Amino acid sequence: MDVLNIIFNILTSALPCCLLAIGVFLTFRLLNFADMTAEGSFLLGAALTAACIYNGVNAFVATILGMLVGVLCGILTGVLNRVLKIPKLLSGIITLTASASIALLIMGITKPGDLFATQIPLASSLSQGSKIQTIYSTFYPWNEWNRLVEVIVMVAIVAIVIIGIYYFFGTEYGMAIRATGMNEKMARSQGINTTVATITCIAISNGLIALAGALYVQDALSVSTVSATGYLVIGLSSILIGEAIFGKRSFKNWLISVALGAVLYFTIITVAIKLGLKTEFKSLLYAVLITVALCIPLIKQGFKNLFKKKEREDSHVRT
Amino acid sequence: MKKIKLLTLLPLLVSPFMMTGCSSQTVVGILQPVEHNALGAARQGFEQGLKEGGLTNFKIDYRNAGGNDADLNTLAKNLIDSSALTLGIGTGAAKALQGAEVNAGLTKPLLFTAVTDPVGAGLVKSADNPSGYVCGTTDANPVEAQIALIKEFNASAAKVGIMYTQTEENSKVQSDQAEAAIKAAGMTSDVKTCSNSSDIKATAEALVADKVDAIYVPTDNNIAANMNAVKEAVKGKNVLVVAGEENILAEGGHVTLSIDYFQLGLTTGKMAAQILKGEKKTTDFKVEPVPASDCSYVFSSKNLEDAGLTMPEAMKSAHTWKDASASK
Repeated sequence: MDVLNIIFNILTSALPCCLLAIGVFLTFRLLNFADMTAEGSFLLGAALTAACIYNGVNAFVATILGMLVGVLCGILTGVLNRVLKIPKLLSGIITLTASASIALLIMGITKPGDLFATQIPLASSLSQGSKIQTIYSTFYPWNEWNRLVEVIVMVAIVAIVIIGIYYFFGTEYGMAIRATGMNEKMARSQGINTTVATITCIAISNGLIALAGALYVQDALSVSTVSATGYLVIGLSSILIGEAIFGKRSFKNWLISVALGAVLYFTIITVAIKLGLKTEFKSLLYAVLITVALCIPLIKQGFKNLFKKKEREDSHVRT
Repeated sequence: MKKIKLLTLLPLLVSPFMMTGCSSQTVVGILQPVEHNALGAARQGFEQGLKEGGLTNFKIDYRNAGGNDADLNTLAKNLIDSSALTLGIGTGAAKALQGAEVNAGLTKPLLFTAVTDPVGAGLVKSADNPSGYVCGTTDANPVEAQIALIKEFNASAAKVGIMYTQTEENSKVQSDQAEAAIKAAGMTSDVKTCSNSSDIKATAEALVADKVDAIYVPTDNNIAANMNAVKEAVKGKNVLVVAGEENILAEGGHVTLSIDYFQLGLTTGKMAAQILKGEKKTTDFKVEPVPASDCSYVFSSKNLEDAGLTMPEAMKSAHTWKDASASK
């Protein structure tokens, strides 16, 4: 049971971050767009979902609304960049900055008579048979197997998203977006409206990130304005770790690698903490982890060269 | 190549199985959101309280999230499994533990300390009747008595500035209380908020520009960690800075009537010991604020001097003062 619990803990933290990693991956890798909106859409997705659930909206509807607010953030960043010609990094930062105030407003929905609120507590109102339910708790048996149910729901959502993204980026329009990311001038010369393609991709990316936020908040059961800090780094680290260990041979392989990267990231952190790593050293561990992940291709290459040399020597001896 | 990949993953997959070695010791989990003087003092008090409460053969599993909310939840999930009782220091940590317990379908006793508004944060239903497995101690300040210090210092004070970080729920609660207290004392208030550590100085300067006679700084984690900015802003401006608690005076701020976080933790630790020994249940306790008589008057002679202020003799002799800068 202990081991199972540890595995459940890792998965319930990691699976929302799979979506986050895929979202960041779509802009960072496919579109070659360093999108700083991520933490903003994550926070807004979490805040809106929590606010809706708190006010008695069905959890599935709330989750979809949370995702849509991320899509809006993405469209905003895209428009800032493509229409108003603001540099990529800056347009993301503008949306991110704005989202801090919007989140206060959204959370204010839960506080009648107050325009703003800085937190939404869900934990105390959630129990067996209560009106307020999350997408996980709708299926809970309300015993020690709660977490298994939570994991199953999360896995189902992540699987649907991965399959959906895989098929979408295989369609003609998906290919057009990927072409835009690879070589914009070339794509435009092929008759692709690169402005719309870019905005679409950023919107999808931020929709996924906000969905991650929505899944996260229903697991954490509370949200405050600082809830999203650190998640962009988690997303980027997951991409790097996933790519380095599971490869990026094809689009399908790449997508799954990124998702598994998030799981691996949380596994490493949890195992390190369980093995007695002082929590004060955690930041250092992150830094080492990312460095090692970035070096893995180099190490792999070194191994390959080593084997190749041996083969050559062997064949030399034979002749 | 595939084999090499699997080999690298093997230790990771196996390692959770090696961690299951259990001992007969009672494990007490402590979750703290960030390294912080007051929160650290509460933790030491709690550990002392467990011992004084007569608990033997226990092990403390202390986790610090280092200011990262993403980690707070991961740490909380792991703590609730391995511990017989958990302590959340501060609102964020307590809520993370509560959320983890609800999702895991557990009802292990969960204590909190240094939470200003446990009812507003949804930790307990009401302060008198906590109900459920959550209880603890609150660090609600004697705000009214703190505001009274302003009139003692300068009887002609008419306008008091309040500054806090807009993202900190605890600070907002105190700010509202301070506003009411200021109004009751016949003064006007001027509330300004900052959004992060970089605009603290600008916020304090804006208050000084508004010609306030004093500034009230609640137990705001962000401002507490950056009091130097406030100190710079009020230098030579004849503005008294009243802080929410004594640890804020270390870097800036002049006077306060402070609750003792060590004492707060100690009380919580004794509660935990009684619960773990089976003498009492979490529902047997009330969430009570610290009585003003248990608070101590603290000033910082160095900060007063740096700001060009002197404390009136009448005020000095009225209370027993502790000098925050002397203990350094």
